[in-house]
Amino acid sequence: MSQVTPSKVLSEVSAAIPAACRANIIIIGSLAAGYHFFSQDESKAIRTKDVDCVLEPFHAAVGAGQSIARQLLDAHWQRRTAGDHQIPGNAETPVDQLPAVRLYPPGVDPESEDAWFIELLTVPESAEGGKKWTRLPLAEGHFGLPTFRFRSITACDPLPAAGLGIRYARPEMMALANLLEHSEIKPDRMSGLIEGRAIKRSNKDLGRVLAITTLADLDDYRPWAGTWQKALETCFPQEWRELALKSGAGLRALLASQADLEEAHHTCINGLLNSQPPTVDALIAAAERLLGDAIERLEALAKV
Amino acid sequence: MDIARYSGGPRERRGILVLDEPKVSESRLFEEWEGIRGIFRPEIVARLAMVIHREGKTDQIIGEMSAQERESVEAVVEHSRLNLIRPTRRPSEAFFDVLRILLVHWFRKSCPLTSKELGEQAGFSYPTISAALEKLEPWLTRHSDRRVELRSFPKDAWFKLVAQSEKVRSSQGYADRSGRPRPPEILLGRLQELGRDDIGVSGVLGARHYLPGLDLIGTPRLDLVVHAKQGGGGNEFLRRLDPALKPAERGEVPQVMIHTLHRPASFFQTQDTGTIWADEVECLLDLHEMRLESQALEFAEHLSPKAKP
Repeated sequence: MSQVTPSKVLSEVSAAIPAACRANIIIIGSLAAGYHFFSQDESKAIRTKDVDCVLEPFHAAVGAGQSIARQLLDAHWQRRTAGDHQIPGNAETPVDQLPAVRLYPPGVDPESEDAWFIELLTVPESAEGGKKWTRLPLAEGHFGLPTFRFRSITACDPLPAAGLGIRYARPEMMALANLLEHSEIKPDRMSGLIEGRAIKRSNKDLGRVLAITTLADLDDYRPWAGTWQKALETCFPQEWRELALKSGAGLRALLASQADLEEAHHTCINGLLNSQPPTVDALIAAAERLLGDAIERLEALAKV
Repeated sequence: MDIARYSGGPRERRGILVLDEPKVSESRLFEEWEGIRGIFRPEIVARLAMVIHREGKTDQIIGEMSAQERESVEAVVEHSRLNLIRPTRRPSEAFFDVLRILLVHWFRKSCPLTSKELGEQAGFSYPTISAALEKLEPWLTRHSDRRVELRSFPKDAWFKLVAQSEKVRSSQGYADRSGRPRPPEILLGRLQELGRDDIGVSGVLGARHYLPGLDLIGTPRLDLVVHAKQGGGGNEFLRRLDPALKPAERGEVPQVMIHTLHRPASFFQTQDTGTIWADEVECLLDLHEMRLESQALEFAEHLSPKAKP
């Protein structure tokens, strides 16, 4: 995985995309978290290979995606060709079989250690569930903009990246999206290895929740419960209570399994917490604080 | 079972089980309740209810309850707490309790006490109090009306107490392994939010309350005294201060120390800000426990009546 400086990469991405589309982009994932916590300290790098760019609102996503991809491809950004499922489709290709738009900056060797690529994503059209794809026709063929049910949470009240014109997801919103996505530890493992190990996706994403909690380093996480409630009410007005009551289930399952917790720890120390690797006990403490301060409070709000 | 039997009689009585600060988890209690529902006839189950009372208020009600019944819960809990059968305390503990009470009165320059008053404040019988006073004889002034008070600081007895302080006060340390402990002042702020009147602040923060100029930079930990006489609820409230706190293992530095006060009189002092302070003796014991000997000496000199002009 590449060691990247979040503020540097964000500047590069912002400069490369059309000015008119910047307002439609929200950066999410480890780069967004890294930018939030480390933007004042350029010496701190994070390990990531992808820069997740969410295009929103949904009705503007295809137009913005086409403009951005066109400008980047014309500026010689290179399509990612390695791995399965990278060949563009056509009008007949089922939407869920289209490749995502993944582009490396011009001149970068995709095989190099420091290579990273941007990936275009979008938010769901409605509150209805499941992973969905939206067709994105380009001159090179048809691509897809992937989303998943809880990505709309990450687009709630994003923060501006200073002077860059693009925005990035609030860390606590990314944490909530991951908590909601993993209300249990699912068995499926990530295709890419993290420092030589195939990790369960749930453990990687719940590990991200704990990394964000650790980096936030708050004396009080209770305000997150109120922020989460608002986001849930906005994105899932009919079922926010039900979702809130399930929000801690995955984290509790993680704490109950030493093997899963160890995998989450592995992703943290080789990812966002690489600069200051925590012990497993410290990660447990972060989980306890998040549960006791924020999640239990959210659950209580949902019962009112 | 008894409540169901009571409720199952011909007079259609209602049976309400009030659980005050239960140690069992909510999910377990729900399971038990569901189990009970399957045993009894539906008309009996309809007459039963369960109230879970946590942290000084009704937390959950399972089953049907009228508004009047709901309003009565607090009074029932209060009555039960006041009439709670206290755990048996050994007479050997009385010596240290009497010593601590006499010291509080001496530091506060209160009036001398009768044995009856001492017995009420310490929660021991007259013979036990009398035996404790005998041991403290060298430091006592006995007045003609049989009231007693300390005449000087009882050093020997005090250091015996200091040596056994952890046991006498049922002290338990709590640590967090996050590597980022929450500052004691933050924990104190969250304690205040709970509005608990059975928990007093001692330790360095408490000593600073009585002696603002205490010569110490920083606050090494938060010391709290839980007054068990009022029922208490174990130390579960700590989760509201910092969910990462766990009982400290041997050799682990605690961020929070909880001491338990079993006697009826707490001698807590309430400040306008809402903070409840443990008495001076508890604070002094904490300074010794933290090996802050020079600060303990400074504090004791400040408190001792003889040290003042």
